[in-house]
Amino acid sequence: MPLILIKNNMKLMFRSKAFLLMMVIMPIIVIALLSSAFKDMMASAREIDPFTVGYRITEDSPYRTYLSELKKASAENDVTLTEYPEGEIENLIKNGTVTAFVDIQDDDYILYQSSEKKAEALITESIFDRFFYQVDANSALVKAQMEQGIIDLKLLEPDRKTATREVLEVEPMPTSTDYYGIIYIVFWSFCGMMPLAAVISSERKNAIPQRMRVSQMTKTQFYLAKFVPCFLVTFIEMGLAWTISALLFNVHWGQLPASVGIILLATMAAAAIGVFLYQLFSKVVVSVVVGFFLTWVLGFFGGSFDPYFYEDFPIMLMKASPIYYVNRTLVEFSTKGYSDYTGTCLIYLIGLIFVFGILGSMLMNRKVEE
Amino acid sequence: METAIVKLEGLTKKYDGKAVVDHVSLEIRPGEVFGLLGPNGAGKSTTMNMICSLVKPTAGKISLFGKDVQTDMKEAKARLGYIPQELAIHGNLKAWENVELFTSLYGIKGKELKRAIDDSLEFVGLKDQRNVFSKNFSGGMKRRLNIACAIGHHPELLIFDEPTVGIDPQSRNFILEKIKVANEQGATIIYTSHYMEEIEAICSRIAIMDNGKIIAMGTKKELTELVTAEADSTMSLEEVFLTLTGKKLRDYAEGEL
Ligand SMILES: Nc1ncnc2c1ncn2[C@@H]1O[C@H](COP(=O)(O)OP(=O)(O)OP(=O)(O)O)[C@@H](O)[C@H]1O
Ligand SMILES: [Mg+2]
Repeated sequence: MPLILIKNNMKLMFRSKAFLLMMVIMPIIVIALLSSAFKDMMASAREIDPFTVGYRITEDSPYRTYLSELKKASAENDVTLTEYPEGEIENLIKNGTVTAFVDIQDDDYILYQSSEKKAEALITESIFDRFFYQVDANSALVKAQMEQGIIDLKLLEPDRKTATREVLEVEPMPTSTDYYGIIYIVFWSFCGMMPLAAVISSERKNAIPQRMRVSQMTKTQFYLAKFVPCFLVTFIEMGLAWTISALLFNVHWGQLPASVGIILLATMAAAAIGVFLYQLFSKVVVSVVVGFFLTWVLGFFGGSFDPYFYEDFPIMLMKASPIYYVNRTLVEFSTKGYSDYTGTCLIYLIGLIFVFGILGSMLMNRKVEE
Repeated sequence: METAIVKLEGLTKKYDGKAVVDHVSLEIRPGEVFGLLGPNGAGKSTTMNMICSLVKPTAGKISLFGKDVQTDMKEAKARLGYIPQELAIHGNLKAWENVELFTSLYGIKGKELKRAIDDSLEFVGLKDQRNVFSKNFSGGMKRRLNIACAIGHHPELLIFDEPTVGIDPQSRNFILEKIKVANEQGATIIYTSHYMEEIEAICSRIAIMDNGKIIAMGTKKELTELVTAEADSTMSLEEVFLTLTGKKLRDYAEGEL
């Protein structure tokens, strides 16, 4: 292990103030902004006077069984759900009887809102969107389980009430502070290739690669001298951002040792991809831009910018992003204390480390020729 | 005669079909200070880079310490110190950290490494500036640090590729003196430059290179005898070069800079 080379490369990375700022201060600021922006939104929502939403539901709508849950969810947000089987919907809204109206049909629902009451419309929309999304997801799950014979329908029938109750157990939701507090530590961990730019650009600006190649170091040692400092520095910087943001904003992380382990693996995966990209392009700027773009796309589909449970991307795109699995695992650690995604998350990260580790060291070899 | 430390046979490098090093053959013996003199673009750096295995030759053979470089470079690397033409130091590392980093690449650790750092910095006269970031150094100090980074593992062969470009006369004289000292302590030196007075001052044997070819080789006396019949001529190397090539060295050395 080329310890002294690793140590000095770490010094170079820590001495670059721009990267330190980017890796420690930026995530804290973003977490602060997003969670407080959300808090403000919720606070302003709370200042809105309680209002009534009318509804109408078809006779055979499968959503009928969920009505009481929906009423409960609405009541939590100071919204009263009242049934209006008759009457022109537009008139009900226009004459102020109800603020909004939802027409629940067999496999869909239509939401009527008044353009004058924007805030109320927003709240109504978010309640219904979230609720129906969960109901659909849960019934899809039950259906799939029934098809696979995991749940016996006959057994369920006579005991229908308790059965539907169980189905309705929805995923616990994180608060916005917890969500963003976790998600942005993950996102920045995936930006872990950035600080290494301090080393690579300093080497290439000077004739250091030549001098190194004249030395007795092996290619594996050179690889380690890039990879190890890259993930260690990112991990330490993330640890700082993590600790500070958790203390400042009271972010709840679950399963701390496991979460730390997953973040460590995430920084290693990012470092492996990063070293590969630095070898692939001769210009540091190009590698950094490509790396950031890649992280951004993975983050976009993985829930870094909009909570993944509100996303309506094709599920395939979401599932292609390693960030999605890390996000989901860590958020569920926080809300439930366990996650069914842990296994996939670990396999994905370790796979990335191996694949890009091998590709990166292969490119190291190529660099020696000239 | 002792075995040659460096032996080049028909060494050739072509870029896009154009030979920038063209059938260079020479031998450097232990204890020599060998000067490679030539204008910009003559192919000096390319030759040095091929000796150090940084550039693959198109044709020809290189032996270092009696062994073929192609088959057995690992051991030779430990005995080789290369000071590249461009600076190869980290600006954001202190002087001693730079020396530590590059010396450690040869597997030197612990107390031995500490001593090597002290010795190297002392040798180039940067002992008092060991804790200064190298980005804050003057041009001459950077050049000296560049040398310190290549000598910590006590190489037997030191290759200097224009170590004095762009620095003031004091720093240049200091470096030349130190190269002499290193030679007296037993190191074999290859020194490339397009400054004649440097080559004249320190080199025991000189090769003149132009357009990738060695056009003359020998001691200064032998080179002078090549172009004049007078027994004890006071001709300078510059005049020798001019006579051999019909061109002024300085002219295109500076014209191409
Ligand atoms: N990688 C390369 N690709 C193409 N041409 C090259 C390459 N490296 C060097 N050359 C060409 O080879 C020639 C010799 O270059 P070299 O650097 O060896 O000269 P030099 O004698 O060291 O000159 P200087 O005094 O400027 O350092 C130059 O014309 C240069 O343009
Ligand atoms: Mg040169």
